[in-house]
Amino acid sequence: MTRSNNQAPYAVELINITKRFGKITAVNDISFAIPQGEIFALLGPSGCGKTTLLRMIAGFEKQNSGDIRIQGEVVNNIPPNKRECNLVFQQMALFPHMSVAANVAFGLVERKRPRPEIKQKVQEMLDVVNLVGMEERFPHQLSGGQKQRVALARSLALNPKVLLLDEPLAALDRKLRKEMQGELRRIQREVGITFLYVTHDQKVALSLSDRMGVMRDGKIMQIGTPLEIYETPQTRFVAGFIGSCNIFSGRVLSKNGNGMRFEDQYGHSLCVPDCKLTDKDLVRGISVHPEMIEILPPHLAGSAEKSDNLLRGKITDVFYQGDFTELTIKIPETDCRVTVHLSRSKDCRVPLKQGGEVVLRWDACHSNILRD
Amino acid sequence: MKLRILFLRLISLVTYIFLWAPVIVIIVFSFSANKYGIKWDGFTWKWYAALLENDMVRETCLRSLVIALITVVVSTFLGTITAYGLYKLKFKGKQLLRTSILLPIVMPEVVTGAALLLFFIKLSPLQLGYTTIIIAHIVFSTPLAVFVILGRMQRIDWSWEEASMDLGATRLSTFRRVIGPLLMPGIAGAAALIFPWSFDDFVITYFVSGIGNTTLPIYVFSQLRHGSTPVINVIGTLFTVITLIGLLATKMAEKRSRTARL
Repeated sequence: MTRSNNQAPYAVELINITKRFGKITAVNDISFAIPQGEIFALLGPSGCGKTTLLRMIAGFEKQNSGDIRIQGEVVNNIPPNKRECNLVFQQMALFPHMSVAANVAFGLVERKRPRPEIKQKVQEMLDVVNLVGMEERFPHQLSGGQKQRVALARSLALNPKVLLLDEPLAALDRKLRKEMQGELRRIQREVGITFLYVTHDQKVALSLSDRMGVMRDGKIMQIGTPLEIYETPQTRFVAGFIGSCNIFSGRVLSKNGNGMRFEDQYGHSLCVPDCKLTDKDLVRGISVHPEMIEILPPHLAGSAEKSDNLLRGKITDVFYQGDFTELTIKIPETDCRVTVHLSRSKDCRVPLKQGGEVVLRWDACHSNILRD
Repeated sequence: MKLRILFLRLISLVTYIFLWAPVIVIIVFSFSANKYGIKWDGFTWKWYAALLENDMVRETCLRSLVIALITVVVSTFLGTITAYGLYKLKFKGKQLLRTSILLPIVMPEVVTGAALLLFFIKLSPLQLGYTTIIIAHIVFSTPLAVFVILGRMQRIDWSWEEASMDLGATRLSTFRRVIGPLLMPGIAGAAALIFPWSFDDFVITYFVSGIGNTTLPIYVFSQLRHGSTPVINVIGTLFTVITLIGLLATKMAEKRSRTARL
């Protein structure tokens, strides 16, 4: 059931979209495009404008300037009921006075399709979302996950050119959320419809999407695959929001054969991989993921290789998390604190207790360059 | 402790006697053979037979019913769209307008009646009659409908409306298929309140009815002026029984729909 009309390469294109509410600019000159058949996640903290953007694509808000195209067609002046995109609401918004079948059939009835066709389509959709046999139930008789499936089926029944999802999993508990994530992916592959998924949960965005965009204060900070966003964030905000990275401010002192010499604000000299694409003056800091840092006992510090970064510190906090242990380590004579995630499988030769002296070590290639 | 419970029971008993005594007296005396209907002279059905032969009672009762029905239909319709506007639209002075909706409800009926009478006589081309009675009833019933339906609207999740439009429904279709059915309990509640209000309104109707146009309450009152008649007791009994049946029926329907929902 893959879509046949692939004449336009993009399911959704946003061109210089700006939206103001009074004096507040909710969305500030955003442009990006989502290719056909992709799951695109829009990630950002609450109030960053991501839901406003979604509601503009659905037609419930009108942008102050810019164009929205759905499969190449400009839809700026098309009301929501005529736009060929459907929104799955956070609160699901199932009609409480209608059965599951009537909910799924709602849009088809509105389009005055013949009865047998509606019946067949409803069955087909309930089959896709694994709800066969639930036709006569009412929304209040369904569990959270089942409601979610009905909401999906109701929107997918209209074969939209893009399906917009507004944090639909936020109301579910952790286990169910994980299960529904897998289901969403399966359903998307099955129907081949482009998904635009808005969320504030970086885990959902990373595991669900083909590509994602990170938003802040009405602007897109970075767009890329989950791997690119997680491993090479370009700004402090993205680095901090997506992976609680350790951030060192500073500048590049010199370039040499196998890397750049970086000095942080406290004067520590660190090794950074040479990035051929970046002018060294554009480097404003580096970020290091807590799980990439190793802990060594102080006397083993000498055995490190040249490309390694070493920092001496003192353990100030130990938080046991189960699958890993989170350590906070203070670098003496600075107010710099480094977070380290120590996985259970990693061999640690240092007693993890407050006040313990340790050496932090990470490979230069795990230092990621920040541009702000 | 025991004494306190006994005391509470006594108070409840007295309250109920106080509430029910007049009704019971009317029911009992509707079967009394005494021609003034105030003394027990033995059992009879003859006042019920007399009621069937009384053209005035039949006529005024029918009129009151027609007036109440028209009032219910028009004022719930007006009430629904007014409530929708007051709830959904954004405009200056909305809060003031919303509060002032209560004004006709708290205003003494004498004042409303007198104002309407002046209005009809001095400012409108209408002759006092059934039209003016119906207009007057709509005037005092619509605010009540607005009030009840607004209360229901507060319990509606308005993302339902957006969901409906998102699925391709027009505004009208959304109201017909989603919002209307969800407002139904409120609309029905308003109708159930307004019907008896309109049916037995005396004060305002008396002001605006003009000469020779009678509704049932006015007829009953005019009969009592010449001394009590047992036919009035019969009317009272019949309405008590009808109301009770209606009340029980709604309670039962409510219970059934509640168990069906769960």
